[in-house]
Amino acid sequence: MDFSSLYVKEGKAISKAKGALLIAESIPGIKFNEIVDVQLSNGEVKSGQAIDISEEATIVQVFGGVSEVDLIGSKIRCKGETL
Amino acid sequence: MGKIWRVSGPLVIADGMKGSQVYEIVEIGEEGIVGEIIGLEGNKAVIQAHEDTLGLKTGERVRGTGRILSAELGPGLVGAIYDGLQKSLLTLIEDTGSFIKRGAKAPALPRDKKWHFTPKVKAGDQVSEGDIIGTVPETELIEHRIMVPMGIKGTVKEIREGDYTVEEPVARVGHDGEIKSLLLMQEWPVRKPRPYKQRLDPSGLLTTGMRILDYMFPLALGGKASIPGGFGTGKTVALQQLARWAQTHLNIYVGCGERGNEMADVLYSFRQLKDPNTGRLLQEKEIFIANTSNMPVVAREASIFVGITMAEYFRDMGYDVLLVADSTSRWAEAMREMGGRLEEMPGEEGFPSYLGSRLSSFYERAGMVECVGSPDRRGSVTVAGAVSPPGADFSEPVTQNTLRIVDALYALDVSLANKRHFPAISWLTSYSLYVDAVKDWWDKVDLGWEDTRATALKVLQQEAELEEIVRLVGPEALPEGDKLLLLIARMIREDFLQQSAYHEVDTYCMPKKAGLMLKTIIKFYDLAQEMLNSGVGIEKIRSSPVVYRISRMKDVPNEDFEQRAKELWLEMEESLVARKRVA
Repeated sequence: MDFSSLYVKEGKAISKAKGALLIAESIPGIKFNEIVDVQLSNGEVKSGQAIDISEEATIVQVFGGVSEVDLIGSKIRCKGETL
Repeated sequence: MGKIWRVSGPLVIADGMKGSQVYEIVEIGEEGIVGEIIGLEGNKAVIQAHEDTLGLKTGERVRGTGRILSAELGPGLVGAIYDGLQKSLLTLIEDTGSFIKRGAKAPALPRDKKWHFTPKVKAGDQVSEGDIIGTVPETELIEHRIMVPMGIKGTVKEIREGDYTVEEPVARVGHDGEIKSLLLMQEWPVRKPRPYKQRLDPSGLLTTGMRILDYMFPLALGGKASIPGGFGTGKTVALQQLARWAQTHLNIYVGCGERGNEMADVLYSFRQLKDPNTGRLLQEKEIFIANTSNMPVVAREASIFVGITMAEYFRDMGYDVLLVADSTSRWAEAMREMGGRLEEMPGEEGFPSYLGSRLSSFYERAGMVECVGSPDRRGSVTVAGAVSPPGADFSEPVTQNTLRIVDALYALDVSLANKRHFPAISWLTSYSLYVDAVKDWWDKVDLGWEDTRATALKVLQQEAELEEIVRLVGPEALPEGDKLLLLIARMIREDFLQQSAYHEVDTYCMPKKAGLMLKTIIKFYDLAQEMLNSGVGIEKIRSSPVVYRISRMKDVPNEDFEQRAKELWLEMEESLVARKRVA
């Protein structure tokens, strides 16, 4: 079992966004269906789930959807936990 | 050893997999989740995971096993409950509790149980693939015949009676200087049909105890049938009746993606109900594969193919096997999901373009065959696949593709179910192409079956044609002859076709009783016709006490029916008398 509450991977940049889906660079060590925090450019933090992980990219589904994502200012942070 | 490159639901792409085979089984991640390679591209392998992929990370190891998805075959199969990957659920419950833990292993055949083996050949005999070398009394109803695996032949060097586990050698066979050990168990890749000497035409009735099937739309041994039905049409009950009462040697029930509590119901009843012919508990002739709707979607396909492989194995022993799959639509939906993940071009309704060929690769393994090896013997696999068309619309792809493959259709009708007519199998839409194949069988049980059947179907057809007029002008405006026709049609529907699965006696109707029941109704029709012709009014015919007695034929136990029928016929001849015409 992962003691993942102590481990946090910071600040991966988001490269594309479409509807409720965000596509970011590959995040090594992220687990399939892991819960992540998406920090939007306005400071708001929403929860999301990594629904497609690969060495090319990570696709995150944001719970509650996103209306506007400022790609430059937003970040994805992994918490190391699944649902 | 490869590593995970991408995970998306049940789809896993692994890198560093050069040298792997298509359909090779792999173990994914630290927990060793079972997956199957479905595509290869350079160094990468496209894998469908048969278990939940939650929590997998890129970079985790992927280990090829060098084996393809195979079923274990041997003593211990009968009465077992498996998941889609042939893991023994009874063993898993003991080891890990009520929820199946990912990566848990539980072999299909118990490894520590000893079976008594009696040889049928002796040292010095020549044997080859498919030959029966001995038997194991697996249950009171099934004698497990141990066969020489495919590809092996030679002279028996050693064979001895005794008690063995499935892994201990029971015989040694020598060929060309090489000695091979034969065990009680074998393996067979599930996607590959097992060979046979020759394919025969389906023949002989597969007795189900359901009158609408056995009498009106017979299913022959070695046949293929489809049972499409919308929600609330009683599909599950009909299939459970089939799995319970079919008079084949062995029945295999594959619960593919359906409700867990329904499967639990079926299981429970197998452990309580007795086979009408032998009086033994049903579980002595059943194998159960449960892949409920919440279990991994990809395992649905595995459950179907594991089921048919086990069916073929028992067929090769010389048995008649029935496989019931509830429901093939869930398997098609699993294919659709994987196809979407693989970014394949979707076909009609989103199903993959290979839906038809994949369905036929399953159904075509049914049939009656001459088995490989000696002694000469015949075996059969009959397949009944349920289909769940959304909105009860039969024009959808799974139903349509299945209809092209099967020879019997039992169309469950929503309007019949609403009228509480069960089994809700429509006599106007259903069909069976096995009427000729079972004619000889039926003539021995009920001479003139084909004609009686044709008469009954004609009456029902005419009733359907009259229905529109009746709706417009009402039944009393019809001529007397038509009124009688409607009365007879109603009797055929209510007293013959309707059958309650929950009734102590009527849940299983022997073919002989069914034949006598319908002949009674037709005889009543003939006598009533004469009365009408001689001027007796329809009211007198309708109010005859015989009408009531005919409606209670269902309640008479199978063994007592012949006597009861004789009494009824006598009563009819005495009371339904045409008026003597005055000269």
